[in-house]
Amino acid sequence: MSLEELQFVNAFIGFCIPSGGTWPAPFVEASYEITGLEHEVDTVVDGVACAPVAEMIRSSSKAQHCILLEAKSGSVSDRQARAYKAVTINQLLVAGVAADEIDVSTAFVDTIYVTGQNNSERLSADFGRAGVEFPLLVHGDSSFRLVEGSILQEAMHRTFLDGIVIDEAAWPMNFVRCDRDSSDGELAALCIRKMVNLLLKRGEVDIERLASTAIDLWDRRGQEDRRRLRRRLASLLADAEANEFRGEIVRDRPHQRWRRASNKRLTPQSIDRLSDLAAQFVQRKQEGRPFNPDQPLLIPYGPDE
Amino acid sequence: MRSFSSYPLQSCPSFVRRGTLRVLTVTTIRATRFPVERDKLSDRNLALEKRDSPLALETRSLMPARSVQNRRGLSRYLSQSLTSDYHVFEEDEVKQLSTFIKSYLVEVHGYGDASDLPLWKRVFPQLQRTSDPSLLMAMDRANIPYFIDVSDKRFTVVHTIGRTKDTDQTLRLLADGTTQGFDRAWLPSQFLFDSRVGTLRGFKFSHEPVALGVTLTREREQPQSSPVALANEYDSLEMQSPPESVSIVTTGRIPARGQRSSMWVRDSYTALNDYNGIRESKVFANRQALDSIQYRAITDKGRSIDHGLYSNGKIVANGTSIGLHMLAVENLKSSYASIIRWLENDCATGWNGGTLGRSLSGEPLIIRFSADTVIEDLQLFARSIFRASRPFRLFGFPHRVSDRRIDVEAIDLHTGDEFSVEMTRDWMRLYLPKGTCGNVVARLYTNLLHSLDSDTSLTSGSGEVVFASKAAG
Repeated sequence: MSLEELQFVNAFIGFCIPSGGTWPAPFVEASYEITGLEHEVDTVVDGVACAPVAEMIRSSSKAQHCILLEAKSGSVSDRQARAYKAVTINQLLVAGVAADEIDVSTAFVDTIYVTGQNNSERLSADFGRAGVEFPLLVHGDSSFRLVEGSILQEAMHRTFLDGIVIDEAAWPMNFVRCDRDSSDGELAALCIRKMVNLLLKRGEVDIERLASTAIDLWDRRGQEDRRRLRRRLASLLADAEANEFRGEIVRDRPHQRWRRASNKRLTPQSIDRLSDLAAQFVQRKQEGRPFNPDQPLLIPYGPDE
Repeated sequence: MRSFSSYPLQSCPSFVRRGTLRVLTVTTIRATRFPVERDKLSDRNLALEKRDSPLALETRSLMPARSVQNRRGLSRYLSQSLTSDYHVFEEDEVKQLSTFIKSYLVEVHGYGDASDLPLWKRVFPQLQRTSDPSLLMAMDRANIPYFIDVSDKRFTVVHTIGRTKDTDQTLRLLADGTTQGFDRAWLPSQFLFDSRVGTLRGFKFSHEPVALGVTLTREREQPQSSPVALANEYDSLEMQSPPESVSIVTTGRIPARGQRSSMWVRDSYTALNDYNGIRESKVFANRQALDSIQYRAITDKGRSIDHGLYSNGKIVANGTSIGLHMLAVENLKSSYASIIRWLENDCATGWNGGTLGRSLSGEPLIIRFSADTVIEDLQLFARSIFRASRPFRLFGFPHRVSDRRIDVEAIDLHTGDEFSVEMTRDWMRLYLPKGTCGNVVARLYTNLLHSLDSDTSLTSGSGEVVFASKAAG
């Protein structure tokens, strides 16, 4: 998922989980639970098996409703659109991504596309080309609004048709933190926090421990997925070692293991310094710019009393 | 030959202030005033008992700590303090042999079982089990005895009758974060207030402006500090404020740490009215985080206990009913434990395996700043809270920084548990991953009350007030 797609997924999760009024949660009552994340659903289109991977699957036994959420920052292929159209409740039950109490005879399924305002026309055209119709949610002007199609669950349809007004600054971003395609900026925050934590606890960081504890649901990821993530995390640590954390951590070659460069006891001041460096590093990665040794600290800590 | 008589302590307040009692004719002093006050009288611990004193026969013999083998023994041992035994030493000096009972609520994390002796040995070099497996006996480096109730493997209570100055220091060493595996209980104001089981006799507000980048609207509206008049006269009220602020109100940005201010009422039969009056009058507004309360509980048979209950989980007791003390401690422990466990089990967010899919449970926690709080510099505010030093003891670095929003990746330096925070100028949203120690929420919130604004609120995502609702239960 791109960062924008990740944001949409988090926004949608936020609509279903109460956040004390900081983010609208109109679907809390229906008790939607997330039953799948980046999960394949096997289906059949014109006699050919295919398996679209939904960004998120939510289902509610109360509303007898399942939602496949597809966040898009680009275009939709005919194949994907038609595959989603073919997904049935029964297939979701078989895949284990529908709530246990979903009744196959009464429940219904919606695939909802969500995108930004600048991409909505393109998606609409893609649907037309594929000859399918989907509910299309568009984020723009600090709201989420249904601009096309209809949602089978009536209350949700009406809510999105009216539009859900949001405060952009309140956007939740911590339900789903990253996926295999997340940018370095997204991975950096998780990676560096875990690195510091392991340094504080153990004095050293090995990439396997870091990856398995920093990335959600590590044990459920495939081998290739893990290999890719390990490689990216190691590259981030090497970058930190060579730049912001130069002199703070050193690598034990040839292993993918880093340790504190000094055996000095950590004090609150030195821990705060690690925090400064971490902030610098993550900000640089999120902004995608090269290291600048003269970059001032965001807010350097003063001496502790 | 000296003669002896008995004085009620309240009739000689000068003794309290002097701190050392030098009189010719005293054997027993019945102290009925605020525990902290009387505690100052003692300047030696039990080890100082001098049995060879010619006056020793006049005192009760004290039960040695090592003879305590079970809870009944513990009650008898602690009861000695409640009966206020004193001993007369040479040169006509009367020394208190025992002091008030101190019970400290301590959270043990990360090691699974609080009854493991090695866990405690870093602070208590001498440690032994009693015949009751849920009761440990310990001595600190100064040979002051303690009894550790580990009936709850995580939320333990440390009882002692040692001198407060010494025992506070030992408990600080145990739970201030330098000894791994321990944390104090952090009792937010409303929880503290609701935890009393008797008549309110006193209270203390305290404020230490550790949070930076913040002003209060009250300060903006009154750029020239002017004294605030109280609606009523409070005879028992005392106040301590920074030297440069003549009035209660300070101007401009909340200054850097060090200018602690406090206000308290002690030993007052009208304490509840005082408390409500001050709350309503907005005197000391936004700085009304409770540091401690003092209350008296009385049984239907007339036995009583005076308790000083502190926001750091300490209970100081004096009176005639050890049973009431133990009951109050147990109630406090179970209320606090149930809240922390609720935070961890119901509010912490996490992905469960499900059958084939992934299921997310939990909801974020919301700390909402009061309408009087104006976060002027969000970055500075974030950095002043996520600091490794006291009182927060959090590692944290901000990212996705904008003018209206900051995300923080945090680590609780007590436990090494990670959590995430989204901050705006109006609220903080906490995401506690499953498995994170919930005590960090209590520490963060309690310290925000004391360092930012005492009207700050903490709710679950569903809107449940975290520390008020459970306390009542």
